Amino acid sequence: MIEIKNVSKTYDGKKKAIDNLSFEVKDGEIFAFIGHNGAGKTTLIKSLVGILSFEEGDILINNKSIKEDPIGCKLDMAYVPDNPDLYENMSAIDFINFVCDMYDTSLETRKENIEKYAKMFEIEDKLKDDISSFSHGMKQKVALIAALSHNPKVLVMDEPFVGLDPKSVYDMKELMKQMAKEGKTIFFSTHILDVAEKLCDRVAIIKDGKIVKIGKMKDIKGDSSLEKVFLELGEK
Amino acid sequence: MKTISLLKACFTQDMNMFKYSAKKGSSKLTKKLFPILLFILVGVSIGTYAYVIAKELYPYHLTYIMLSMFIFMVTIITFMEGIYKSQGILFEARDNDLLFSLPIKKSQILLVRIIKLLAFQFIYNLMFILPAFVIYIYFEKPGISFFLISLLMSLLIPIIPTIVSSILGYTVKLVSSKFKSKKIMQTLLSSLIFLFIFFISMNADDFIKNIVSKAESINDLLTSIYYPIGAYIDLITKFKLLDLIKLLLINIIPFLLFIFLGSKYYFKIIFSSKEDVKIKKRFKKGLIVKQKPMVSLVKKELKRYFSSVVYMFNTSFGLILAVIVPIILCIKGQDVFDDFLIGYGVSDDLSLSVIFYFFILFVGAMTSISSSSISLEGKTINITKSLPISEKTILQSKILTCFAIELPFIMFSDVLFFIMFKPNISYIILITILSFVVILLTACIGLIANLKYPKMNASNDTEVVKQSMSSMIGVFSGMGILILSILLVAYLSDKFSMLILLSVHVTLLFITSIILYLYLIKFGTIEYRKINV
Repeated sequence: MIEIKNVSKTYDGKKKAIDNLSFEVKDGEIFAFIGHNGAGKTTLIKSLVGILSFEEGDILINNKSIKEDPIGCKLDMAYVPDNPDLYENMSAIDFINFVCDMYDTSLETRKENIEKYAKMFEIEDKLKDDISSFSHGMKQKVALIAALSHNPKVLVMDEPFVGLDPKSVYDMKELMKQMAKEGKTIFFSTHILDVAEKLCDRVAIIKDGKIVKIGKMKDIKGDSSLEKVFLELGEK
Repeated sequence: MKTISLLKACFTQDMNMFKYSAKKGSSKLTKKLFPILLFILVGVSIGTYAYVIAKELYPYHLTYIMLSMFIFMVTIITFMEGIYKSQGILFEARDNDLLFSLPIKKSQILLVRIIKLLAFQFIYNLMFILPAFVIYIYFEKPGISFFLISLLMSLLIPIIPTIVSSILGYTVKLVSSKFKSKKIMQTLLSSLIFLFIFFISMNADDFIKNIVSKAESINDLLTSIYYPIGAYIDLITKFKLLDLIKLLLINIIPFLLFIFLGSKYYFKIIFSSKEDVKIKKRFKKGLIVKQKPMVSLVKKELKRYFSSVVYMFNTSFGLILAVIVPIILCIKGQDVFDDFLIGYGVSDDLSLSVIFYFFILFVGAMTSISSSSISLEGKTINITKSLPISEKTILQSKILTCFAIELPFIMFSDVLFFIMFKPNISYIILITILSFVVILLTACIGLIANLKYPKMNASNDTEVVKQSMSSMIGVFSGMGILILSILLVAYLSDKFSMLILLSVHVTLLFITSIILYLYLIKFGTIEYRKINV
């Protein structure tokens, strides 16, 4: 479960990138965070996973504060960045092993998961190759496998579908549904409104660091489409 | 126009040597003052050296020889540094994809990169050449033409050595691209060339020392060895327009030729290395292994280190000496060492064990690995920060990496020395403690400097390793500790026995290291958390 409580973050003490955000994402829920470029999505996600510090409020992951117990929070979480800047000098399998080591994942769990997800994303034959030789989509797949290989309770993803091929997008969506069924929390940002509309239980629309709309999909869009609602809110 | 725009973009992106992220409440003044202070400190040291030489030469109206010596020295430094700087800036730039997709001529891209390389060399050279100019002005009180010609000369100095070293850098890149372990081969070849030039320079020592006694003829000799120096000296002593034109042409023509010819071959190398996709053997289940987080972090750091030629090369000089010096001592005996010391005007009475103590300190001081290790993480720092490991563990892993790289070389040196010269047990303990302490000390200094001056958006490794404030602080503070230590020990050597003195010294270094380590763990972790890419 993710609880975001009155979180504000400013850059250089001037511009408020996120302004007093409060909401929660429950266990077993798929939650999408949508907004224009520069709306504050990545800032919130980076704050949520402990990359950025924030001045006001708090974020709780399974009742643990990211400010007070960052390692405890991170142990429950996995993060997939929007631009997978991975360790280029490592091979894919070295990188995945490295991430698993940090989570102290057992050998059995990582073997099972790496094989399962590498097969799913069709990169079994590429695991020994250097990351520097990979395309954006391939790097995204490596980041996803690394994130999933330690069985996270909370999955946080920034634009997870960018760069993935259609089959991988489909598999990823199915996987997210499966994880939600297992009671895991899925939180992601996206520009692909169609995906958000079909996949998510709830969405939040963010503009200039503030939430302008949040709720269940049917409550937000009503009889309209999510795209129309998003564009209307963006113009206001 | 395109070239100017490209230059502007390139310089805005890359020439932020002193740039730092100004955070609310951070000590901005200290951060601004420190680089200036460092520049002044180095400048004053160089200036003092220039003054001592000029003072001897001035009564004979030969002060200009001091200038020619400094220009010669700077030319050699530019040449040596250019060999691996050129490999980083010309061949390992990260903006290749962007620039190649734009409608820009290949020669324009090469021109901009060469200008960037020259600009870096120019700034670096100023630190050495400016004090020499100031000392010359102090003694000779020259007219306005000196200022104009010297300004021009300081701009021209880097051109020829940079071009020659770029050709060597190109050759190294070309040859190493034929090998399986390209990076290691690149470092090895660069090191060999570097050591070769170093060896030649060392052997030319007698020749330089004779400058004072045979000043005028040596200047003529310098002119025949390297024409621009002689031409410059002629210009400042008696100005002739023809000489000025000759000096300009001799620098500009090779530069234009290099751009013209280089643009034909330069891109072939870049494209061939880009197309070099590694196809490895099929993935096997045995490759999934479990390790402790610290071991995994250190391995990650080591892989980063061994993936960067410029990183390895910049930090390997001291380590290579740590291997070579004791081997030479073993083969040739102590006599070679005594001759070397006498050659430098150092008393041959000085105990070899004292010299070896400072040699180990020198090796550690020259090897500043940690001062670039945070900056080199670049955007991948976000991965590390999102993982369930504390900042303390991350910083400790970087210190351990320094031990993993440096300790084998230093211990090799120690053991060989112990076997060869059979010192007593207290000396063995002293040197062993020093070997550990010096690595810890330089690792902590480097990390603190890197946390104060992170450079996370560099477009290539060279900018971080060679042109960042933290790497400069890392090396210069190491050298500062070494010089201070030598002065302190030399000053007190009459009052105390050497073993006591060195034991106190190593204890002081140890205490300093522990203080810095504790500072790093308490405040460095906060600074690390604040880094935002």
